[in-house]
Amino acid sequence: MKQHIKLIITAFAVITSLITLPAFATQTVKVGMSGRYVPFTFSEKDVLQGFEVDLWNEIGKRADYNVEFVVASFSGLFGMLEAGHIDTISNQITITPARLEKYVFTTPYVVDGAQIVVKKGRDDIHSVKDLHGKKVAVNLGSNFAEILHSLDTKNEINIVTYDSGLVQDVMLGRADAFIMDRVGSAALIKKSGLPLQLAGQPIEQIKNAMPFLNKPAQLAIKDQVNTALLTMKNDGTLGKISVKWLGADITQ
Amino acid sequence: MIKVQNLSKRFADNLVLKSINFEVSAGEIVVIIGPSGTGKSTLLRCLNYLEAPSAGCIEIGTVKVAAENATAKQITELRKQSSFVFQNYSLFANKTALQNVAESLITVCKEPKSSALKHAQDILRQVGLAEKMDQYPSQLSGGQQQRVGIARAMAAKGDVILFDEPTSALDPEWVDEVLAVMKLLAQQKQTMIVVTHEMQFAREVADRVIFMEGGHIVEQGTAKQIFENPQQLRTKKFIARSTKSYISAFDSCML
Amino acid sequence: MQTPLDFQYIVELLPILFNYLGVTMEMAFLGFFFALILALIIALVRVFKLPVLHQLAGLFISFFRGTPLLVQLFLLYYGLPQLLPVLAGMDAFSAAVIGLSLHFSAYMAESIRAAILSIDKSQVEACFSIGMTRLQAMRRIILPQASRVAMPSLMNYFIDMIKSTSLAFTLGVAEIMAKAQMEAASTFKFFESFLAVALIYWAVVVFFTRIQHLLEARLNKAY
Repeated sequence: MKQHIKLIITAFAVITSLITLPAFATQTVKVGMSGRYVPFTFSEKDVLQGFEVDLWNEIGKRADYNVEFVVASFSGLFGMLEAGHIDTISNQITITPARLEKYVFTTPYVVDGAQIVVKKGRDDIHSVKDLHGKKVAVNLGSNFAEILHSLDTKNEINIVTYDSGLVQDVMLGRADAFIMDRVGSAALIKKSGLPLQLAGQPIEQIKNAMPFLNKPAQLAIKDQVNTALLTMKNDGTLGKISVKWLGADITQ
Repeated sequence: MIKVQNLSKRFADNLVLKSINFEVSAGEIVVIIGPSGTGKSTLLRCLNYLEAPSAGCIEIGTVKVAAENATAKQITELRKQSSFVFQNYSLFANKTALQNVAESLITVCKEPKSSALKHAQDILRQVGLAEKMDQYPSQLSGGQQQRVGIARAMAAKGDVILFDEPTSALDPEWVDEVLAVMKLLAQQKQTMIVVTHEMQFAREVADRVIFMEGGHIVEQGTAKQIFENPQQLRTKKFIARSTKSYISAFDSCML
Repeated sequence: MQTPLDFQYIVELLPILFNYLGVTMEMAFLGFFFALILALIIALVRVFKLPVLHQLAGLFISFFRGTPLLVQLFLLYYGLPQLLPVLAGMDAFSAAVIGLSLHFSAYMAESIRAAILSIDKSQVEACFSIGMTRLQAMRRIILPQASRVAMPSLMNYFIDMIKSTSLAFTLGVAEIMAKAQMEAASTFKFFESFLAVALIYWAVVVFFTRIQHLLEARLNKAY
């Protein structure tokens, strides 16, 4: 009788360890995003969705991650990265020299352009030159402010940073234009039907990737993500996600 | 049983008690009389350490505290040796009459609640307020509140009960019932030190009368000695004034 | 065809926001609970004038009353982990609760202290006369009476705290303000979204104001 019990207990232990083993192997990766960037990351009827969400669900499958999406206002995302509350940010983060000094990026997964967007019907703004003397809205902490500053050599543009509501202000006429990424803006205008229009060509090309802290554990995750991205690029999955949300493949 | 040596108390620039010395034996009933503002209440409050003396030494029973190096623990111990009846009753507003009386037993003497409450009920019965035991102070008359105050002091198991003008804040109709309780205590040989303007009470009940003026003990003796044959001029003046007003009050009652 | 207000949208949004009201209220209750305990300790330290602690408490009150709650939350969640890496494990919800507790305890401590000091000196004297210690006097007589005096003020701070939880969205806590913001960002119905969340806050506050009145009536009846 005693021997039978021992056998059952051992079998039980082996089975449960086999079941839990995979659970131990799955790593949890915390991905920060703003949840306020249509169509990349947004929430409708309380469902988090968008380009970045699909992207990471796919990465999670390939790299065997348990992906945890952490949503916070954009201006706080880098702070959370620094503090170690999240592993990376997936919010169309543009690679800039300043950011390269502090963080290590994955390979770019989106190639896009910085775009001026104005209220529909305006035809006085077509380029950066036309922005002189105008009030231009940019997102707090985004690279678009940097880009604009570097192009505005004589400080003739009134650049205002917003935590949120920059689209709103241009619509209301409180600001003359905002700068955001081209493809995102186009998708936004299409989806929302708001009276906005793209103004002129992109003022600068931007490459977006995901930032990681320069620490061994974080770099390991970055490498795994790069591998996943590569396979997704090669088998067309990345392009498919792009077309689904943006109407075009902007991943090359 | 009570020994006070060189007790002084200064409030800012004002030296209210000037090196007081006196003693009280167990079972003695001492009444302190004198003009207002003369330090009588201050002396009493020092005994219960409700005021910290500036200098001097207080001894009640086995507890001795010197003002110069009094510790918090010593002070708490000394306070337990005496209990206080306040001019304005100072009953615990958030406790019923019964709870007021039982409070010292429960919190200070650490008696179990049920026996403490029973004990408190007995004491309330002695002061004639058993049926008011579940009332809050706000629901009681001045005289009733003061009797609860005395009951509370009785329950506190101190060696001496200090009365600070216990009837001065009462409407005349309540004075007698409170004095009656005090006389009852006197009969039971409870050590009492009473500061009062009630001269008739002093005459009837006191074993010793102390006359204070200007922060000094001017004269002390038996009630008979002080009231009928005061030695000091100041004592004479005070007695004469008090007796006159007593007589005229008595007269007006007779009309 | 554009109507001035999309009522249909508000009606559809309210249940979604309502789902997250639990998070908001949990933050408020936990925050208030810890704030109350901390405020009581600080108030007693200040009333008893305990050496050294008294000055530290004064500094605490000065800082947490003197800086905006938002700044305090950011310091706690973004700043401190840089100094103490062990704090990186603290999640946004905990950070919000801690931040709210610290912030409001500074105000509540002063309310409690004022309430304690408002109790007539004769009450504590009566306690001393029967041989109670300071702490016993506080516990048995002073604090019960002071709590009645402090109640309206403390309830006020609770209501204030409920609304202050809206700042937690900057840390990434999924509560009703965050949800309203996100829905607004995707549908661009800003007015409707924020009106909806305002209505929810309003309803909650009205509810607790009613509770406050009931509590006050009950306490005042006692004695």
